[in-house]
Amino acid sequence: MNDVATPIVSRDPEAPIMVRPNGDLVLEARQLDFFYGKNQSLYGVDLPIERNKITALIGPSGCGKSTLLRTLNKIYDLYPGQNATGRILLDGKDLLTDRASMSRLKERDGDVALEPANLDTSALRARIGMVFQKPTPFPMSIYDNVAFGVRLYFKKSKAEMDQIVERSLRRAALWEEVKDKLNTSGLGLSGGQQQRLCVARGIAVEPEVLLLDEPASALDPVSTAKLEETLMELREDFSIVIVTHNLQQAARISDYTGFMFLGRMIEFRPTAELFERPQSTRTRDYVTGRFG
Amino acid sequence: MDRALRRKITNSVFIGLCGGATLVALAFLVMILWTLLSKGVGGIDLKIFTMTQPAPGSPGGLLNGIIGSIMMCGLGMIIAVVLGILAGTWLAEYGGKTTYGQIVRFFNDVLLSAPSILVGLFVYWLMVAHIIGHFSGYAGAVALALLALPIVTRTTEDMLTLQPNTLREAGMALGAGRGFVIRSIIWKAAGAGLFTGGLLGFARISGETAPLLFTSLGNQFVNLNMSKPMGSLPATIFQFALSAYDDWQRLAWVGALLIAVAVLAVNIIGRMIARETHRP
Repeated sequence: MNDVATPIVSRDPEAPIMVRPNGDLVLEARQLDFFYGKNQSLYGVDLPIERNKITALIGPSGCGKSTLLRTLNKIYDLYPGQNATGRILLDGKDLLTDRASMSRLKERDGDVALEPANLDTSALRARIGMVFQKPTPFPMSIYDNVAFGVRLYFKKSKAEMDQIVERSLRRAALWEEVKDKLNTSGLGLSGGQQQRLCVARGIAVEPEVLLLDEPASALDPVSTAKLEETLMELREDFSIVIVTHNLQQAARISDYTGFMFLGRMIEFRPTAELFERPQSTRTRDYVTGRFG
Repeated sequence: MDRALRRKITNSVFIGLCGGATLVALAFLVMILWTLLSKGVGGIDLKIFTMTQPAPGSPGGLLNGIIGSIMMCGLGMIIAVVLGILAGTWLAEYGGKTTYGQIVRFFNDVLLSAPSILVGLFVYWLMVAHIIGHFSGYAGAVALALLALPIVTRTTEDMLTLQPNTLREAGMALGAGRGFVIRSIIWKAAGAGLFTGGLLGFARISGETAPLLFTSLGNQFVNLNMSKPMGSLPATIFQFALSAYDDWQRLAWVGALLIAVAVLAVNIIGRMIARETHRP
């Protein structure tokens, strides 16, 4: 590929090849290390997330992409012995050190969120939504599933809540399928519907960032296509980070792609460039299917 | 002999053994139930539920025992379910991996198989001899609670551990605190299992006699005051079955039948409720 100038290739073979987005960054990880007890699983990872874009993380199993995702909303906090060092900036404030920054929930529809004094990390998680690999509907009605997060932080009238539930389900492209059975259990839905219910639940609290950990790996192709379509539309309102094993999926829907290997960010670039003109041999081998 | 035939024979023999064992177990169960029914049903009449235990030869019923059993089992179950669910939740969600948690779990398992008479003696020493100073329904209820508690605790821990971690993470990813996630999501998801734990506990204590003998003592009159000695069905059965009087022995059989029917009914109703509330 002689048509490409390669100013970003560093002489240090270990240094990541990073093309930083030009736009406004909503979330950014800098020099992030992560430890499961004594085992280090992330090594100085940088990850810039541009607002209203889809950022995909790819790489072979065990490369740390899910760990990176779980670090971004501090879900690892639940497990003793897991620890992160480095910086994670949300709107310029460091989540790992600056506890005060976390409690400020976004204002929405004119009302200010409750600010529970000791729930800093919880409030942070409300600003960064997450959808998991396996659908995780709560054992309650579809309506209550979507309303769950909203009720935690906002006092809403029945009518307002109805609106939020409907809007969230519409944006997750699930409304038409469930509008007549909102009071039935969320567990009765199909796998694909459950996953979109989880998306609706996640976006109902209007997070700034939506993290998705292989959201389509348990879904059939039709449900996957629907979910991808949903994500493309959600990009207008949210910034999305998606971990995927499916390279075509990353290529189809994402604006930026990061390739990770053995706990390191190897290459982070606009998706088209990364897939068409990978700079690192490791990236090239992976996206052309020579390993992984 | 070819392989297929050999497998077929092995298979048949094994299934035969399993079926035989099941049959033996069921046969004993049926025999027990049959004895209960044939000896107990004949004695059931209105007097059983309206009159207290009689002197030999005079008419009477089991009302004092029925009321005492319901009240002591009821209070015992309330104590056991509240403490057991909290303890099981702590073991499953918070401290189960700590040294203290492992000690708690170990002693809970020891309690699980503790002889009920030991529990009765302990409660006698604690409540009858020291705290209250005399026999009482409260002491009986506490003894029963101590027997049901380890069962509820254990089942609660097992059922909560079965819930996938992603369910907890999903709740917390929405900004809910840990305790809130457990109360509003995990308990709900494990609801049928927690219910089963309660039923198992109830089945265990409903027929217990030994721990009641020196805690609630027994009372031949209807007594609604739990700070006084209280009658109970098992204690009445124990007393009457050992007696030489035919009418007392008949009443003992009726009492045994009543306990069996109560356990069966509570189980069936409980399962129906659990199924109703957990239909997907």
